[in-house]
Parts: sequence; C-alpha cells; structure tokens
Amino acid sequence: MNTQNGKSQIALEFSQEMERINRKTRLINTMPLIILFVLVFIMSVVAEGFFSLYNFQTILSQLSIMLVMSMGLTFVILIGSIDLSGEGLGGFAGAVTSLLVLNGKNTNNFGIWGILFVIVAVTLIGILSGVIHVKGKMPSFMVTYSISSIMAGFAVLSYKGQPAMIKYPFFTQLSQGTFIGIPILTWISIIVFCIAYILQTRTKFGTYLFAIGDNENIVRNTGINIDLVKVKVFAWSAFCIGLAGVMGAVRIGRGVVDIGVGIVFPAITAVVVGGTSLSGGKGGVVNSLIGALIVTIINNGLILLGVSTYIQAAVQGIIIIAAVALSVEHDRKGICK
Amino acid sequence: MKKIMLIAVVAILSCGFAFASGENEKSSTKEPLTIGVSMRSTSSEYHMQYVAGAQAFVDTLPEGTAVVQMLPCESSDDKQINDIKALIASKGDNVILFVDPNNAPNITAIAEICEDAGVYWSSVWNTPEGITPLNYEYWVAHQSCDGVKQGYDIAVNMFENFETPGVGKILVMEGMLANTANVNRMIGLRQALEEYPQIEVLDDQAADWSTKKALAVTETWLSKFDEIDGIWCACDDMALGVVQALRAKGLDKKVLVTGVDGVADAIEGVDNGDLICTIANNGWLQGGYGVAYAYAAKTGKIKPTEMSAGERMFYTNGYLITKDTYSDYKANFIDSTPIYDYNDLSFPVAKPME
Repeated sequence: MNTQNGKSQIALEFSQEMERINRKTRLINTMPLIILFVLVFIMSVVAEGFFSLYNFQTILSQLSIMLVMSMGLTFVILIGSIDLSGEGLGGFAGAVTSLLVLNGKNTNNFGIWGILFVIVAVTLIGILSGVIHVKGKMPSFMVTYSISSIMAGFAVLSYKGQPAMIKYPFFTQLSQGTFIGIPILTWISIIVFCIAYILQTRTKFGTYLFAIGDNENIVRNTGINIDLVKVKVFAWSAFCIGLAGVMGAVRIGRGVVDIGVGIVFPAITAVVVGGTSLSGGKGGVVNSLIGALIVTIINNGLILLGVSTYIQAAVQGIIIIAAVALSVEHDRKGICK
Repeated sequence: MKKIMLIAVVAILSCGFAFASGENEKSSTKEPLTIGVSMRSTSSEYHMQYVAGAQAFVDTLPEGTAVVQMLPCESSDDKQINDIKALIASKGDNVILFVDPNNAPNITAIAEICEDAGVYWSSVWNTPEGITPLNYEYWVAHQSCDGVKQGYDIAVNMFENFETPGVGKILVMEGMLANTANVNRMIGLRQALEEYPQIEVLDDQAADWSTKKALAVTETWLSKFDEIDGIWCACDDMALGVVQALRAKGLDKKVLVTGVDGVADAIEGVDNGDLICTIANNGWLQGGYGVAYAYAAKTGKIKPTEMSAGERMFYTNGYLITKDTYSDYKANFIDSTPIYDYNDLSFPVAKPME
C-alpha cells in the first residue's frame, strides 16, 4: 500500500514537473510576440510619429529586405549551420543587377531577364557553398564567409569602383509603388515568407530541417540523404540573399556593393530574437517574422525618439540581449555546429 | 641505392633553391617600385579617384619604374594596418605609400610602421590633434580638404536657396562620428548655423557614409517631420540615399539636399535639381600629388626634415558644384581628365594647415 502511495506521489510530482516545463516552454514561445506588442505599445506612446499610416508603411518597407534574408537564414539555422555569405553575395546581386538592367553606366537593358539571371547565378553559388560544406566537411561559417569575400570582390570588379545609377522604370515602380497601402517590396517579402512557411510546414523537407537540427545522427541512420537536404537549404538561403540584393538595388537605385553590407547580422538577430535556436531544431519562419518586426521597430523607434547616434547602437544591443534572454531556453544544448 | 636517391634529391633541391634565390636576386634588381594606395573601399568612386591619380603620376615616369597597388581596408582599422605591414614585409623599402587612414587614431600606428621600415609615405584627411608629419622623417606630407570650409559652404549654399533665404528647418545627416572629415564638416555647419539663427535643426543622425543607412534614416524622419526645408548631408553617397527616400514621398527637388565628395551621380543630381550642391574633393589631385610627395622624398628630390610645416601640412582646394558652376566642372573634370604637373609640388597647396 505504502509502495503504491509512493508510486502515485512520484507520478504526481512527475506530472507537475512536466506541466511546469510545458508552461515555461509555452511562455518562452510566446515571449517574442509579447515583446513585439510591448514595443509597439511603448513606441506608440513615447515616439512622435510612430503610430501613423506613413510610418507603418515605412516600417514595412524597411522590414522587407531583412524578412527575405531571415527566411533563408531561418532554414540554415534550423539545421544548426550558419550562412555568412549574405554581405558579399547580396552586394554582388545588387551590383550586377544594376549593370544588367537599364542603367547610366552601360547600354545593357535585359530587364526582368537580367534580374532572373542574377538570382539563378546567386542560387547556384549557394549550391556550391552547400556542396563544399557537406562534401569538404568544412564548417558552414568558414565556407560562407569565404564565399562572401570572393563575391564582394567580384561585385566591386563588376562596376570598377564607379557604381551604376539604375534607370529601369520597373525598379522605380517597385521602389515607390504600393498595393492596398503596402509597399510592393513588402508584398514580395510576404510572398517569400509564405513560400518558406509552406516549405517548413507542408513538406518533408521542412520536417527534415527540424530533425537534422535536433539530432543529425539519428536522421542519418534512417537513410535520409542529409547532405542533399543541406545543399538545398544553402541554395534556398542563397536564393533569398540574391532576391534581397536585387531588392536592395531597387531601394537605393544604385548598384553598390554596400547593398550587402550590414544585412546579415540584423537578419541573424531577427531569427534569434524571434526564438529560433542557434543550436538548431527549434523555431521557424513565423518566429523570424516576429523577430524581424522587433528589430525593425527598434531601429525605427530609436530614430523617431531622436536618440543620439552615439548611444543608439548600444541601446539596440541591450534591447536585443534582453529579448534573446527572455525568449531562449537556457537549458538546451550548446550553440552552433 | 637509397643513399644515391637521397643525395640526388638533396642535390636537386639545392639547385632549385640556388636557382630560385638567383631568380629572386635578379628580379629584385629589376622590380619596379610599388606604390601602395591604402583607402577605405574600392566601392567608393571618390576613393578610386585616388588610385586613378596615383596611376596618372606613374604614367609620367619612365615605363616600368613603378606600379600602383590598391590596399582597400573596407572600413577596418586592423585590416588597413595589416595590409600595410604585409606589403612592407613583401617589398621591403622598395615601396611608398599614400594612405587615407580609416580613422584618425590609425595614423599613429601607420607612422611607426613606416618609420621602422624606412618607407616614405603621405596621408590625406584623418589625423588626430597633435600627431603630424613634423615628428617623423618618413611621413612626408599630410593634406586635407578644408572640411570646416566644406561643411560651411554647403550649408550656406542651402540656407541661401531656401524659399525665404536664411529661414528654414533642416535635418543633419552625419557620416562616421569619429572620422575627421565628418568632425570638421560638422564644425563648418555649426559656424554657418551661428550666422543663420533662423535655421532650426530638427534632428541629427549619423549614417556612416552609407547610402542604404541614409535612406532608412530619412524614411523614418519623414514619418516624424512634416515641414522640412533641407537635409544637410556630410557626403554624396548619403545624399543619394536621402534623395531616394524623398523621391518615394514626392519630395525630391522640394526638400533641398547637400552633399560633399563630387561623385558622378551626385554631380548629375546637381544638374537635374535633386541636390542643391556638392563639393568635389578632387581625388585625382589628392592621390596624384600624395604619391608625388612620397616619390620625391624616396628619390631624394626633397628632404622632409628640411621642409617647413606649411609645406608638409596643407589644405587642397575642393570645387563647389552648383547649378551655376556645373558646366565649368563638367568641361574640366568630366569631359576631360585633369592633368597635373607633378614636378611642381606647390601646386596642390591651397593654404597651409594651422
């Protein structure tokens, strides 16, 4: 009788512990959303001009490139890898696009074919990164960082230091156009988000991402071609980088390698702040959307508040650390393979 | 047999080394002087003018005398120093340098490296207060455009072109905060603001000389401020981002925008009314004469230690491009490449630094 009571007591305690862990996990999972709402509320109250239709459009416009980048990076991070090729590859995509469409530097006018060519070329480079990573057994950060440097060099070579001013009317429509009040570039990023969401939730490929990130060895034993999945992930990431580079060229109207500068870290930040684990296997594209909104609103709000540039970066860093601290599980396995 | 093979391998290797070292000796006697041009980025049109200026100088020398090597630091202080160290390590003292320090404090480390290696060099733009070529034998000269004057000139030009001259609301787009060019241009702006008390500064942000950042900052500004008469930008690259943001809201040509540096797109912007003015720094002149000073010291034509402070530290003239001066600038700098007499080292000196 006593033994039975003891067993019941253990079962009860176990069940309570599980309930406690589940509650904690639920809270952690919803924390990015809570942070987003709190941020929007605070900024609406304290930042003049924040809660306006124009600023809403501005935030969506500034969100677009980061969202596209983060869609690619989410998959890479889900499998426990990292892709640092965005700066060079994005700059390359933007610079070469500007030289292939109607521009002030040469006589090319390939229009939409020029854009497609660039995105396909960049995707192929992503495949190359993936193949080097899996077949060469080289760390992903090293391979992609090297690819970034190489492509940044090619980008500068492509315009020989004198960037091309884009004269392609379609780009002007893209950069300034809206559809039901939302910038066209944001619509493009929403389409990319939808594709990523479908890939993640409705395909075997999406399931494999989480499985590989959680425990690669178990997945390998089931006979799944992990290398092929990884190469596909890097191809997808490069596709997103290529698109982000073209969108960067659309936004600034010039083909400079700077298009890629500073697009990787904010996108990784968005992914992590959104709750995707850097160790892989947890998170997803919805988290990254929330993360991208948080990062964009912080940047936007600090400028509206007139916070001195001297302390803006520090404030951003503190807010991001706080957001990550609140939204990650501290008892999980270590960072990045 | 093994011994014979070992001896043969050693012999072949020895011959190889001897041949190789002989080749090195032979090639080192013929190796042209390397002219390192260390600048922020190859993506900047203005910085590429340095390289074009250095090449124009090399073209005046007998063929094979010197070659130009770019050392872009991509905004990294460490990379700039490491690249210079690596070049000196590979070429010894058969090198001269023209350096645009990424940030002012970098210049001290570069000066020490060149002094130790016996490498003549000259610099442009960034130098911290109290650090001058006068303390060094191999740091031949330092030049800069008068950043204070530039900041002042573009500000006054903008204020005078407001609907009511001297009255208006402006936003300020700074470059890199610790950068000497930015600091000086801001001093010039403040001087102009003191003279025009009816100009109100709505906000001041830094965009690190980046088109992309300037675009994002301006987009956000436009959410907050309804009445903007002008945006003072510390450089052309940022001004082009500002114009792009204004265009999206239909405010281009209505809000006046300034720039500095004279990059081609900004000059075109002045012509079509997107920018009210810019100042061309003339990187051809800076790069060409910067190298000419170091070369003259290297070849013994000048002795830095015997030169006056004014000869070693001076301002060069920029070119204020407005709607009115555009055609003159186009004729002299766009339709034709400027040609200089590098034997006359006093030519670029607009005024000595104080």
